[in-house]
Amino acid sequence: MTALSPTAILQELEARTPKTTRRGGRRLVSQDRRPDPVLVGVLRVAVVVVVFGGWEVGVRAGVINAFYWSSPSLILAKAVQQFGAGSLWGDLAFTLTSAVVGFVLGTVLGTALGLSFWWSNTYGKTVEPFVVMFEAIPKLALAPIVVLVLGIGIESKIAMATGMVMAVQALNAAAGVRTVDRDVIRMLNSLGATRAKVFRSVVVPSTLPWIISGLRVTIGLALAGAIVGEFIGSDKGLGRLIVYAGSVYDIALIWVGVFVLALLSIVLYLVVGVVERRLAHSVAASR
Amino acid sequence: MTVIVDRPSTVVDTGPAGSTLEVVGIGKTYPRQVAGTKRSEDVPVLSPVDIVARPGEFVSIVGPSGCGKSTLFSIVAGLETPSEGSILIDGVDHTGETGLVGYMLQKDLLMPWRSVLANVVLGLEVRGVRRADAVAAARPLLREYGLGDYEDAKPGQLSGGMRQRAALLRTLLFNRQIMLLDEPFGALDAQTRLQMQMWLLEVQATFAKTIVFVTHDIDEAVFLSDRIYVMHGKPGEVVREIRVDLPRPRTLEATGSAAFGRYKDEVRSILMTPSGELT
Repeated sequence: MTALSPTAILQELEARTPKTTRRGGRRLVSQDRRPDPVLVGVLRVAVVVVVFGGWEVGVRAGVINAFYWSSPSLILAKAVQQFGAGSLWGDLAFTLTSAVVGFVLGTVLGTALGLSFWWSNTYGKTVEPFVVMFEAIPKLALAPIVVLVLGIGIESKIAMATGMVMAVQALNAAAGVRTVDRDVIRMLNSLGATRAKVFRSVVVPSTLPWIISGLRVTIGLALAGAIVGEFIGSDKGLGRLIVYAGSVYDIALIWVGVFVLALLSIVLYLVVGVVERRLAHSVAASR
Repeated sequence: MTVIVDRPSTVVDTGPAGSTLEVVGIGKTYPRQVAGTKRSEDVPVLSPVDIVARPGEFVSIVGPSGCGKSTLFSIVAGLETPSEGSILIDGVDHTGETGLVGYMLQKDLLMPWRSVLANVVLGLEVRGVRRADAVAAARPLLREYGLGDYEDAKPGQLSGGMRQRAALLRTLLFNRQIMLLDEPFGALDAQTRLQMQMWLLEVQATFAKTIVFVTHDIDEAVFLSDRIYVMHGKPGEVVREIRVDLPRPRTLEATGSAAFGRYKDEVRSILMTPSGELT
């Protein structure tokens, strides 16, 4: 075999390369054309109409068993009756309170725990695996113990919500602490800054975005924690309502509980979204 | 009888001065594990180096990457302790002390959540200067050096050159008499870099700080410096000191002069000559 010159090697290679198109090049087909917003809106409404309309029609035609599945009209009637009787408002307030209080407590405690890792590597390295372990445990499985210890009142629900939020935010804060720019810390050290000053001026502000971006995830966790606490044992709350309705085969009432919960969850998510944007903005504006 | 009133430390004084910086026999070794054993040996990165920068003087250190320039600066800034030698400021031993010299790196290290104004007063903030005094000192400087309209802007809104100017103003406003600049313009494009060099000369002429400047750009070193220390690497050592007797103020025209070219050739030839062959 004769040795080829470098140029000949490339020519040889080109000869062996499959020809993709006749013209040689390929025209780019753009995939990021914006969809028509009106069409999207119409389609979304159509989805709702088909699902709920189909459900209702299916029940009336006898295809769907109303005893197991209930029907939109029955659920609506049940909701009107329940809100009118007034007990649903109390359940809603109970669940909302435990979720929100747990959310706030969990965020504050988790952030403090995560930030504390910065102060001592020995302490941080010692504690971190335990936090990871706590995060990994399905905390919902702990609900029976929590309810047993703290009782069937609101305390056990707040504790559940707090635990769910705290583990996640502690790890978020710890991750934020690790991403702090070492060169910025060096620069501050060269200015003669104390550790407290470095903590305040760099570590906290660099970590806050991590906490803030975790808020929308953890509000959902707080709600889940509160509800599971109610499943185990409670005298109030949407979770208790659902368990009670199930035990008396009131399927329409279960659906009322589920839909109210879903609405609550969406509202909380949206509110936290607004708070998050405000916070992100003011963190950026101050400091 | 005259009453001597101590000026409160909160008054910001950016007035001319400059201190003497003496690097006396500074050496640094790092322990490194010997391959295949558990034993560690000391690898020298900086063999004893002597450098002097006098009040108001502009001194450059030129050398290849990895010649220990940045280690030397870390030691002068008090961020690392030397294996031997000492750092004297105005004759007083300040080895291993932070907070005494301004220190600027190629990265601007501006805090993205702070406004430009809040960034440049950081050094004064650390020194405990009252916010109002710091702002009062910073505003005219920002205005003077083209950042007046951006004092409330975030660093992310600035161009690379403006960010680096803000970083230099932060170093200047730390208000120490000695500034260490570690390749401050290394990441800028050629045109912006030239503008920044001219601006630095202007700042130097105004404030007469003692500046020690690390670069591997020979043109930059000759253009800016009163004296140049040329270093060789592995371990880092100063192999030559060159006095640059070009008139001040330096202008762009000076860079085309025969004398400028001769200084460049001299620095280049020392950089390219192996240490053993230097006379």
